[in-house]
Amino acid sequence: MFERIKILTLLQLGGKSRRRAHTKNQTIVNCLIKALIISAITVAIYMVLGLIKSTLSFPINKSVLTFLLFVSQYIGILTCTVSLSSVLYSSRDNAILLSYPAKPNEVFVSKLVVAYLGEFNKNLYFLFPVFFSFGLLNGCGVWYFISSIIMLLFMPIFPVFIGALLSIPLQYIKKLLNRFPIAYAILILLVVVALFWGVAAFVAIIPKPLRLLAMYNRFINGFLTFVASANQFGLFYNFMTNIMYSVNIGLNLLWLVLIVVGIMLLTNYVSMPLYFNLASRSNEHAVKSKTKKIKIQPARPTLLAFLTKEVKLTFRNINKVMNDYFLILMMPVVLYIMNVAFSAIVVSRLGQCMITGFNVLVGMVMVTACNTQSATAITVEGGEFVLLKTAPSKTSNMVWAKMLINVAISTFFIFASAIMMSVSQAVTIQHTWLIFLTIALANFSHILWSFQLDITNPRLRDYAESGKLDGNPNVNKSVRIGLLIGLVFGIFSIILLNENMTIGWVKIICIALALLIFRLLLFVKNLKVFFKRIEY
Amino acid sequence: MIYAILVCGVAIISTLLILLTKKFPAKTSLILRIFAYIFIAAYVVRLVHNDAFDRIYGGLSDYMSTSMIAMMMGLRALTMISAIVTCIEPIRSSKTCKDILSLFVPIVTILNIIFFRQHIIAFAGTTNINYVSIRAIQFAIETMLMGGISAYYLYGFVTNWKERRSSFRLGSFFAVLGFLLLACFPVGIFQGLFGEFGDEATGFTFTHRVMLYLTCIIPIVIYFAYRNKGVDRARTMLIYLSTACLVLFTYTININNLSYTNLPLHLCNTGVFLIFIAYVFNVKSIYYFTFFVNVIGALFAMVLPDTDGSVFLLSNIRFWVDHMYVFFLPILGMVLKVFPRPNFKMIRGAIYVFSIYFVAMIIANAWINTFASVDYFFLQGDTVSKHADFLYNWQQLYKLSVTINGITYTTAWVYDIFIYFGYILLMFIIWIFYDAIFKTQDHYTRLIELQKSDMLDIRELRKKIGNDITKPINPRGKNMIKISHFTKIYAGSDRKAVDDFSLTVKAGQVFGFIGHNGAGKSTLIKSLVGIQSITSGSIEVCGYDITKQPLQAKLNIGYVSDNHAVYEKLTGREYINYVADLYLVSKEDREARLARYAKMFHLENDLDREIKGYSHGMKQKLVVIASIIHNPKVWVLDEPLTGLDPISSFQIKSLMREMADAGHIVFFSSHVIEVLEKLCDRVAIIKQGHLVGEYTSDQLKTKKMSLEDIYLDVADEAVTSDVKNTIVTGTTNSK
Amino acid sequence: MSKKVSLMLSIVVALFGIIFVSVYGKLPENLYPKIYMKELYFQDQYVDEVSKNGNKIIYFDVSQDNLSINLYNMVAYAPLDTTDITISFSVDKPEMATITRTGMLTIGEAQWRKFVVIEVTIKSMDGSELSDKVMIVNQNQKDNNHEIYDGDDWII
Repeated sequence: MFERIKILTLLQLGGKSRRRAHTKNQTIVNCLIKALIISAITVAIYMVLGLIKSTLSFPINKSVLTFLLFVSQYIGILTCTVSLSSVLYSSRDNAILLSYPAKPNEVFVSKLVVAYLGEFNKNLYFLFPVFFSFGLLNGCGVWYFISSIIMLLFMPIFPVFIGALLSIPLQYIKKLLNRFPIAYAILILLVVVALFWGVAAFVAIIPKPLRLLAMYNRFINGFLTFVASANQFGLFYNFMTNIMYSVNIGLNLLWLVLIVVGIMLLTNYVSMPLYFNLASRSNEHAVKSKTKKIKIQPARPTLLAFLTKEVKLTFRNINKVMNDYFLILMMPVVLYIMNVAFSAIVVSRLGQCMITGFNVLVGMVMVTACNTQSATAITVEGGEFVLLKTAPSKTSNMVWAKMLINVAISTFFIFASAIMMSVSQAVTIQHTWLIFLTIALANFSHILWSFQLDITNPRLRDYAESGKLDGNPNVNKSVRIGLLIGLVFGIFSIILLNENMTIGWVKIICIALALLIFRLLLFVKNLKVFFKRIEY
Repeated sequence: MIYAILVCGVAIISTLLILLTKKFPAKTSLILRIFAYIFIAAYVVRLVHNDAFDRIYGGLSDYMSTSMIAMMMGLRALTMISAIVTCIEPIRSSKTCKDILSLFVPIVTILNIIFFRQHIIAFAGTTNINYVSIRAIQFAIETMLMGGISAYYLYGFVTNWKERRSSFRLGSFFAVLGFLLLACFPVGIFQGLFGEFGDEATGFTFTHRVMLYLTCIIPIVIYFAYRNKGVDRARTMLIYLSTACLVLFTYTININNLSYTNLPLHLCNTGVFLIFIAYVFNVKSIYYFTFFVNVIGALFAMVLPDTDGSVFLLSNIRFWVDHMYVFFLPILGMVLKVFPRPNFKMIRGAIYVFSIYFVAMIIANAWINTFASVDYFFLQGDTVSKHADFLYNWQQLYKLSVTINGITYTTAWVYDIFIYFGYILLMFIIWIFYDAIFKTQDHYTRLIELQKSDMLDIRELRKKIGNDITKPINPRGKNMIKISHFTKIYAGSDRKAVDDFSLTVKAGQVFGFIGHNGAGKSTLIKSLVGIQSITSGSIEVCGYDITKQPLQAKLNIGYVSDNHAVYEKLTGREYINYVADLYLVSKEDREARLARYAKMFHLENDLDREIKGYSHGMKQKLVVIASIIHNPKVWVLDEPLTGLDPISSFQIKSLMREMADAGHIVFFSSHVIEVLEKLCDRVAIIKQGHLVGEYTSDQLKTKKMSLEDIYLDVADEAVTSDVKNTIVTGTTNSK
Repeated sequence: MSKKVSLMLSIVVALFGIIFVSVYGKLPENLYPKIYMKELYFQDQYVDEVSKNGNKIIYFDVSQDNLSINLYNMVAYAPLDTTDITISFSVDKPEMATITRTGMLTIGEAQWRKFVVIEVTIKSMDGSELSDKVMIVNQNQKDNNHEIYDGDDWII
């Protein structure tokens, strides 16, 4: 059994990793590089925490460590639950793994092992440096460092096994929502209402005037009180930090072991038996949807044909669209809260320029992160791109159709953000609309740039085979470019507006316009040359 | 009211122009000129007026807010451009200016109408305006004429949309617009680049900005001048420039006047000598030191200059020019390919040299400061540290002192370490930056090459068949597929996927294709239908070359791919509509064909369901319908029967036979020998990219050979002579 | 970079922006509108008498050894929620009494000869401050000449 689990695990890990088999020396070198990276991260975190402790007088103690730990791990549990629910029950490799001469339970265990290793790897890059830094800053003894390594081994158990347990009700909820779209709509509505309430409540606690330096001690005390009360919900993470800080080691260790064993037993007796039932059910796709009969249309121009198709697909894949544009949905909320805080600060002229700069920066970061749609617009055609290659029309028009959708959605949300900004009154109405114009123009340039990345480097086959965009280099490149554009415009805004408010705005808009024209020209050139050379 | 008058005026003038030119088409040019002259006359009336707006200084006035002043300045510039184009274009036409008059001037007219009131305020210098004043009337007439003429040109653009769109050049459009903006609005350029609204900028002075702009412009000019002249000429040029740099630097140096305090030990001073040595003696390690280290140093020196004086003093101009040279000479050496692109080994070498330099400067500073005051590489003074408090504190607090023979040598060790590692970090950051630039350079070099190659192809095609490139390149081949010496090598591979393949398939045939896995069947088919490129050779479909006349060739092809990918969220009918749009099928034809094929494949009741709910066979059938909705002359199918039930399989085979009998070409690949044997008129066997045999069904029947036996023998290395003698081939390309 | 990372980055940048603006973008202190304390006083319930010069007087029985009085409890002020405030106490004759950081006034019997004046001061982070004073007098001096209460030394 263990042998089979080992083989299944290695199979799945091999499928995730693109690396070829290594020699012993290569493995050692890889490990050394990994260790070096972790060391560098540790040094960086140590320096940051040290700076926070010495310069900002922020407490770096057991209480704060517990808080950080349980918040990050609770988020980890949530994300692990969501990812496990798809990995366990609706992953494409289920069809292969379940057909192997291995029991479904063994497949289940192998998937949990893979998830455990993934979580462990993540913790190695984040939690280990944090633990180490806290220990050094608090002058902890050897036991702290030894126990933190032991805790690192314990840590992934919780998100993985709790995730495996919670994934079951999540599956049923998903099926319910699929079957009753009205329930989905109600859920969305509830989430939106909760979001509004949350935002209103959060905004209400921002003191006016906001004087961070004048209220710093009060803030620190408040934070410590909050952390102390929040740590009550830390559950088993309290035991972990107690062990690390040598508080009742025996008792806390016992509790921890009991909880781990309990969770494992629950998973064994609840999740594992249901696994095969749920996993096999997911492979069936007999969903009948009612659709109205449409009339046959006369021949349309290609741009209109592409646009109609894209609009239809957008509305019929609303889940995917919301997921893809999740960040831009949050943009008005984030900008509103940020600007309410800004409006509570009594600012100088430079401060006014900074407010504009940060609005541009944060707005650009959020909106450009969603332009990954454009950076993968051709890639997601996958096997369907064959049709575009064989059609006797100007199929490059599909690019404009896809771009229009992206531009329309992002401009709408930039507009909504501008409305929220004007409500918060952190900047004047005039400046609000100038910020809107700047972000809209810069965003359009970024969309063109992202599209160009995909035209010159589409990954059609990868997407056709896997159905996923994991590891697509265009996505990362697009996000990095968006960050760079946001940073440049943010900094330029502050500098130019500080020189002269009016002419500064003229310059900023001219720069944004010039960037747009430049990217448009380059994009058109690249489209003409490279689109027809894309091969499947 | 005034806005209504303006809009009506524009409408009347444009309508008048359209009617006149339609009534007297031969006199279009004259009519346009008359209107242009009227416009010029209306514009000239300006000369008798002084506008209050011209007297605004510093962006301040008592009748207009600063932002509106900025807005009006911009609009003024655009109006100037529009007026120039409106005057000149009807008299002396040019393609790009016609496009500007059609697309840009109407927008400016609309803005002038919207901001008409603000214009009048700007002219009058008061908010208490009178629309019946001479200036207001003049401007109204000017706007209406400009709007009317540009609306006429816009009308022309829209009515001749296809032709105008194909001749529209976006680059030229913006280039001419930019040029006109520079030409008629220099004040905006100066204000934008050097000043702030009537005043010269104070922080970043005029001289400073000019020098920085020149630092960017000069190397670009040199690059474009030398990029195609070859490495030797570029190296010669760089040797001359680096020598000029050295001469300029050393011109006022008198060795007798040199002391410890004015040695040329600053980074950019040493850079002058090092660049000279690197180019003249072709020393790579020194070159890469200057490339990674000196460039950053020079950039910082120019952004935070150590001089604020006039450039008409030798010492000041020397500062600027030396730093400019040190900045762009190493960069030019790289972009002109005089030195190869750097890798990690080279940056490592640069770090070693920098380390030696750095330690030498620490020692020099520590030693010389015991008897004089120096600040080499700005390690002693506050030139750098004054910009950050923590740096200044580190410099003052953490000092290392060593006493030797009663003399104390001091250095700020923490500050020094910070500067050292900070500089190395900058070097790596700039390497990343350089890498991005190299990739961009490679990309655009390739883009330009491909563009040239495309233009060359079109020219060759025009030479061959005349200006109408929609005519078939081979009129005699209009009912056949002709593959001539086709070879395909995939990128990143040395192996030929298909090698020197030649084949002709005539109309009225079902042509089958068989081969082992990886033989090259799909490669051939994909190149045939235009999904993949051709390495060498040619493929003609119905007389059209698939590479040179892709649109015309593809109009004759229907293709069923092996992956059967469809948009699963569309319904079957929507998908067919979409494909029919791409193939320009009329409404009547697609209705009739869809009804027929849907009935044939029993899909009528499923056409309005999402494809997501279809079975594999249904999807396959849908793809088949989509591939023949435009009734193509050539029908290409790549393993169409895989995974189909017997009935579906039979339906498709019947359709294939029907199409061939109707005079179409059916070209398909399959692994199922029995199907090929029964269905095909001709069969070809491909093996490792070569055509190894071609057989007609009649020949097989006559010789009483089964295709399976032939295939197995041909596929096997050892082919017996008996089998060889009984094979009747058309064309054999076995190697 | 995943969407979640981008969202976290946006939130971090937004937070950083708020901190950055409130530190480097705020109005200089000399231009900043001052927020003044409205009131600060020793509460009436603890004050036994107010002399004709307006000095607040609190009588204590100092026969007990090492009497400790919690001064914090005796002070009232209009609270500010927009700035940090510091409250400090001082005694005019430190050799007679000590006040700890937590506001506990300790008077040793042997040292008790004269009255002590306690001053409370509140300072806000923007520099404004208020103060109040109280005299703590031995209870058995209640019937003494009123002149004592006007700041004179004991007449033994």
